[in-house]
Amino acid sequence: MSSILTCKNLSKSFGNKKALSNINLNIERGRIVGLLGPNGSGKSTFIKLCNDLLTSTSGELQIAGNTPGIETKKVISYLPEKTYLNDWMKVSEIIQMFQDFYTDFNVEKAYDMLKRLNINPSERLKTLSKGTKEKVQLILVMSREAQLYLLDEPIGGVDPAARDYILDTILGNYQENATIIISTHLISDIEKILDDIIFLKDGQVVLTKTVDEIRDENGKSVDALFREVFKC
Amino acid sequence: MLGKLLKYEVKATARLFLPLYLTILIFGAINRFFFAVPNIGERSFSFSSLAMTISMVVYVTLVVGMVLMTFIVLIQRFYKNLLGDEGYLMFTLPVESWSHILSKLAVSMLWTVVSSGVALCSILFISSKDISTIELYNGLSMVFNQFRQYFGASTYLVSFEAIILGLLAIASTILTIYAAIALGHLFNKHKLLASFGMYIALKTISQVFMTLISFIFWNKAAFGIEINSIPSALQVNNFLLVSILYFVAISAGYFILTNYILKRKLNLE
Amino acid sequence: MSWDLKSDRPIYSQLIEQIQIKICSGIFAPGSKLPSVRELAQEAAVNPNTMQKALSKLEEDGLLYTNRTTGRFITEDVKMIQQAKHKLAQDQISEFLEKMKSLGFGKTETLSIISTMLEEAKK
Repeated sequence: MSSILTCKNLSKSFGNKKALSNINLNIERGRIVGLLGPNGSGKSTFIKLCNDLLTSTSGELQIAGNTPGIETKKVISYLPEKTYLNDWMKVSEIIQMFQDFYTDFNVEKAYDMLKRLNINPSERLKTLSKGTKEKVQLILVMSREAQLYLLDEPIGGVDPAARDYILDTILGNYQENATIIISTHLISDIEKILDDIIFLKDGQVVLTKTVDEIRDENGKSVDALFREVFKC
Repeated sequence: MLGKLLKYEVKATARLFLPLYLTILIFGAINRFFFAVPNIGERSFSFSSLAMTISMVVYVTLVVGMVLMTFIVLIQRFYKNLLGDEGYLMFTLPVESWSHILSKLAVSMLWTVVSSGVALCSILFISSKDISTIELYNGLSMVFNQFRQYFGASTYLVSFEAIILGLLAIASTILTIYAAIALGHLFNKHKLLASFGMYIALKTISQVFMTLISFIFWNKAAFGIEINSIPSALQVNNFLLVSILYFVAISAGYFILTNYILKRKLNLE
Repeated sequence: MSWDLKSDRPIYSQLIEQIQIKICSGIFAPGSKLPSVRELAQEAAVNPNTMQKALSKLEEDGLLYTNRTTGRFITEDVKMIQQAKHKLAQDQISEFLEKMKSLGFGKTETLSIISTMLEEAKK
């Protein structure tokens, strides 16, 4: 099956507010996909639905042939916008925890990345700076040999050097044939690594294209097209 | 997977409780030592009586603190670890939502029982000056024999039921709290206040249910609730069984409710 | 190694150009082995699929070849590399000539400006 993610008429409402309306998508394996849209367009909602952190109001959503649940959680590696690590643990302990719960976790890779970043495994997470904690989270997520990586704003609020490092880590560590979905509003930094893009506006898909199609047909960067499409 | 959750839940909480238990036992020993000093209470305003008073105050504070902490940790583990930012980690683990509830319930019960045990042991330890171990043992044996005489063959059954009842009572209290927190989570604002309100609502529902059960099973023959008679072994047994039934129903109900909310109505910020 | 990629043109065609330049200028020596697609993509900070596309095109053109067991190599055919180098020069020059024309310079004038500048550059 070459599709990793399919959804049909997927909708999610919070009371009267419609966060996502009739989303139809078919995402292939082995692609790096940008989920792009302004704040409040529904990107995080979509990602949470994929992770079974939210239940859809209507429509279908399947990942690797399963509806969101235990089986999908085994093959999805998720990097949320927030730091979700418990402060009291040491770095080595959170690595152990990931190893315990995820069979696809590559411990050697994780320690290798920690070493390259000069992060001491016996430090308590509480003592690390915010930026370092974010790096630890990224390491945990990318050390999993998952089928789908969901990265929610991985480079938001990070300095340019760290951004390069993050993109480098993403490129260097994901599984072949795995799909990465990056949700962000900082497009110019990541567009060179994207295969496909999805523009999301007010909870609806307004555009799905490959990046090359955009550059060929429109003669402009994805960032420039975004500014056009989402002009205030 | 449940085993792994239990492992990490114990790890997260043991680091809070074990030092506290140790401190309590140490102060228990200190007080025991003070009690052993002859005539210590009689010389008022002396250094030793002052020290003893302080030590006792500290000890009592610690024990009260331990009770409070058991309660607070129980709530906080559920609220912070599942419904706070850590929820993003916990709920993306390939684990069923009921495993989360069960692991936290089991560990909360563990600490409740251990805390009670530590409190009891330290009290016994302190008072072991006045009441020797042998006297205590004799006293307990006497009570036990009385029970044996009264209940005959079903002594062990009744004891077993009583223990189960105790555990179920603890479980149902904890599950009521969990359900209240989960219900509070459904509100957009003032979640804490909503949880508190929900707790009161759930307790009320439990009370109503208990009244209902009492009416159904209010059978003089079964319970023999006559003011002047001592219930027979069978009647005590029936009472215990019905109580167990009540707690099982409440626990199951609130567990299912909590699970439904976590599975279908989760909305992390 | 530096990769200068702009976002408003297809990346893969820019990669093709830049790899050609690197081959012609000798940065990638004839007959030498290329790093893996992943490594190249990571270095250039681009999508591995895009890098793969560029490399495939270059293989089609004959500048690269793949040995199934040992990997990807630059061609040893020095003549072909020279041809490619020549073509790159022609592309650059015709672009330049177009620009000069649009500025209103004739062929003779253009040639004399070039000669003067080359003379001065020698000093």
